[in-house]
Amino acid sequence: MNKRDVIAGILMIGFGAFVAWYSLRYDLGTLRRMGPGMFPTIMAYALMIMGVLILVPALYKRGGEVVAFEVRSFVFVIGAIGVFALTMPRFGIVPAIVSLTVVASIADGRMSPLVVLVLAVALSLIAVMVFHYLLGTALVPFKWDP
Amino acid sequence: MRRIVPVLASVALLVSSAAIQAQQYPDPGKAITVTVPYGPGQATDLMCRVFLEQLKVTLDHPAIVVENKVGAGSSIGAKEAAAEPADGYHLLCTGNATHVANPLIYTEIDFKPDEELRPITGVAATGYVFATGKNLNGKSLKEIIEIAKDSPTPLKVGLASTTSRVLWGMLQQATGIKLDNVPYMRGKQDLFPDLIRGDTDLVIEAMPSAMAALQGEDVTAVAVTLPERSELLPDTPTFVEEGVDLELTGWNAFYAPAGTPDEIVAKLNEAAVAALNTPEVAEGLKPIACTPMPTTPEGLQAQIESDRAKWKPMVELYNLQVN
Amino acid sequence: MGSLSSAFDGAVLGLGVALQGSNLVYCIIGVTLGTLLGVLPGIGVLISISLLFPLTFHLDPTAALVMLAGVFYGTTYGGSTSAILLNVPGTPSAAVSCLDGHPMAKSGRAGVALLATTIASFVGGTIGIILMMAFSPLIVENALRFGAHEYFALMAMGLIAASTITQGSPVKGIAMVIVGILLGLVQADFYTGIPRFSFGIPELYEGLSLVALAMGMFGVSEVIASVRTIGRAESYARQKITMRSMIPTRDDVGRSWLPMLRGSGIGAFFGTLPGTGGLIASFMAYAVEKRAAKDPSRFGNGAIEGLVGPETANNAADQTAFIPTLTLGIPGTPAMAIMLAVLIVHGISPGPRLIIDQPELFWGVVMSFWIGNILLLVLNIPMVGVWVRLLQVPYQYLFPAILMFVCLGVYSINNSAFEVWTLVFFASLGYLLRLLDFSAAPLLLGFVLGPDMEEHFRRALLVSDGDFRSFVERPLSAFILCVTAIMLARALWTALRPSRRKADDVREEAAAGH
Repeated sequence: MNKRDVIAGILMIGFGAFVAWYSLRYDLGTLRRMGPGMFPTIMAYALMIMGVLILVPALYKRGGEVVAFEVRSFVFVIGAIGVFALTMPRFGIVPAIVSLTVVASIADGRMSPLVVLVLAVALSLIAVMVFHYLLGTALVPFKWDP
Repeated sequence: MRRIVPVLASVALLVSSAAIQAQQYPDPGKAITVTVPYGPGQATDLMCRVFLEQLKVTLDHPAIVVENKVGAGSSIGAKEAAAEPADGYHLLCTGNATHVANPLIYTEIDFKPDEELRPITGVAATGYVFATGKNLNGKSLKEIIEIAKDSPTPLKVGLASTTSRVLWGMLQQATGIKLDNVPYMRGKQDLFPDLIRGDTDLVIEAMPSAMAALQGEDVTAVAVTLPERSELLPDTPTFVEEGVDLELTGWNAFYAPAGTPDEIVAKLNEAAVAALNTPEVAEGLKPIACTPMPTTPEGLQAQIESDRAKWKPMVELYNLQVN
Repeated sequence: MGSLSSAFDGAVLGLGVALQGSNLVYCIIGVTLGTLLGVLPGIGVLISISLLFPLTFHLDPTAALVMLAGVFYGTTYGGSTSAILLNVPGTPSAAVSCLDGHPMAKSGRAGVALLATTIASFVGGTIGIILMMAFSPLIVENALRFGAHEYFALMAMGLIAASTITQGSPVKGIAMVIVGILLGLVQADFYTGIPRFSFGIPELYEGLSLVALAMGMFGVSEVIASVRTIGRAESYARQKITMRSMIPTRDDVGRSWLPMLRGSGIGAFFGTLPGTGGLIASFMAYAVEKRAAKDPSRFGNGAIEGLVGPETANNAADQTAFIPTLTLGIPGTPAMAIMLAVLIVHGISPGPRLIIDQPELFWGVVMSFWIGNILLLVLNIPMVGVWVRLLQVPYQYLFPAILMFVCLGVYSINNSAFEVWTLVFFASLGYLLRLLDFSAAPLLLGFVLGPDMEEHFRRALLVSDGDFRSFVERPLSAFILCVTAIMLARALWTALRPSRRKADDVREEAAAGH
């Protein structure tokens, strides 16, 4: 079995099914006068067909090892972005970038805390220079709005 | 008894400092941020920017910054602007949709513009134009109405905004004709080409967006929805002139979050009206087919009410609500 | 052919205007700023132009347009730079450049890739101008011939082409296109105004953010995949960068000139159709190059044709996109809308009269685009060395910087954290799809074109009173749909044919060998 493609196929079928189901709450209309739900429904069915076309051959073919899911990288890179999203509107550029860098560095896990701190400060400075002074956007270095 | 003096003193201090703050408004060191809940370069955005450039002069405060915040047809940006501190340094410049159309149409969004914002003044106003293309070129409004009545299949009219749809409804009501609506919500750029090609028969569109197309000979303006003829389209009659009871202006206005002190609002109104009365603003608005619309805060509120009275029946009749 | 000679006169006139001191200065400023901004991942054309738009209030219209045009070009070029170096498309239209440009960088050929892009952009722009000069009236007429039916057909064709771009099975490509379309359909229905798939979140009424999608699925997912796999203190460029590796080889040149010609043609065509533009042109060009190549399996691994063709197409499209904007007043993209706004604010109404009434303005702007292209060349060739050095920064310092720029860029679109959460979603999705051997590029195109395609389809039916035959009755739309059907059949056939297995097995072995 091509494990990877089997998963891929199932995922496509699943997503298509979900969309097809969810679209039912929108007026489908007729083919001639399509309602909001018609096009998504057609696309969803098409996707399910593609999913089957991926799944079925995969059940018989060999190969396709699943590339390892880098859990640590994933969690801490995504986490870093999430921390940024929480910090930025409340506390401004500098705290946001510092937290981003700190969390992201855990994904790498090979830098010493001192290096991380220096990097965080350096990046915040660059960020403030570019986004606040150079571009003059509404982003501010520090804020207090929790 | 001994307490009274310090209390009175503190109260006096507080009141006077607020008054002083208002007196000193605007503080040259602080930037005024004006939220514009539209994409940069769009008609409403331009209307606001032309006005704000001049406000910098009349308010003697060059640090006025525009912040674009797109979303939910202006409701998201407006809601966020309303939540900003009511200190006069956070303001809003937005179109009539925010107060008139959106509360009627986007019933799910928890935003009450009347409670969360306070009006300062109107900014600019424009009209909507009813235009013909390849199929009906050269016909007057009366002729078009006749053709529409006689035609076996309804004529098709291209519409690119919610306001156009409301006008479509109002037009059908006022004339008794039926028109098929062909929407161009995403594909605004095809609105006039389709008219020129003859795929649609008519178009109802805001003047700022229509001006470019009207320059060509393939598209002709038949009537405008303004109370009086526009000097940009001197040969085009108004609907009212032609005997059809249809009048609607699109406008944008200047607001502050509810709770902004009266003195600051008054000062802003004064400076804004002064700006709107300058020839620079009038000239600047001309290319986007708008005219300045200075009002008092009360006047603005009255305009909002009167528009709502027009919109409500249309929204209900044509089921334009969303959720 | 009077039009060609008068166009030539116009060009000379325009050159005079463009080379005027102040205009030249503004052009330089625009191009420089644009390039710098475009390189920063997350800052795309729209943001750059919006940020600089207020400055133009105080300039005279020619200077304002020249500067903004410079920003426009510069940003597009900068976007390609970060696409090649970091797999982060600085602008969504640079997504195609990631496919072969980034692998080139990873194998130590970043310098060649960047140089090739610069030259390709210049060639695309130049040919675009020539075509503009020669065929302006024809082009405008042509553009008007495309109605809802034709646009639908064109987009369907573009999407099927995009599905063949991927290295693996085209079926997966089509699946990605559809997923992209579905994600794009999260937005208000154009007829009734009802928000679809918004799950009650008002921020979703107008749809998901394209920038967040491009950054997340390409850039961040690349970061996630690379953080721990790139060795300690190693950088992206695993081999040593020598002077020689920065210069294109004879082989490179030989492979590039045909794609450049083809790309220019494709780009010039799509650019003149309002609403299509560089993105679809670059995808089409890639698909064409892949099909035209003797050895398509090289694509996706650093085939220079796969970089040069789309880049040329993109630039040619950007160039010719000014035609409908200036002559019809129809902006094809939001960035064009701002250009239009600049004109309008300065009291100039675009329209068919513009060329006649204001030839200095029109041709001045057109020729300054060309000068801008030259400036890009001049400015960026020395910069290539700098960029390549950048790649040598150890990855552990580089990747937080990438994340920083992406996050700030996405946040500053709407000054809202919601877009950043969208980024989180797309990054996760991108990584997941990468693990399952899906390609993000077709998804991106599906996302952009899907809703437009739906609107055109439904509007086509509205306009022809619900008659499906109208798609076939209109000659242009029938033709395009035929081509699309053939492409689709071919794609499915090659996917499901038994001998396909050989190529797949070869790839598996190669992948396992790493």
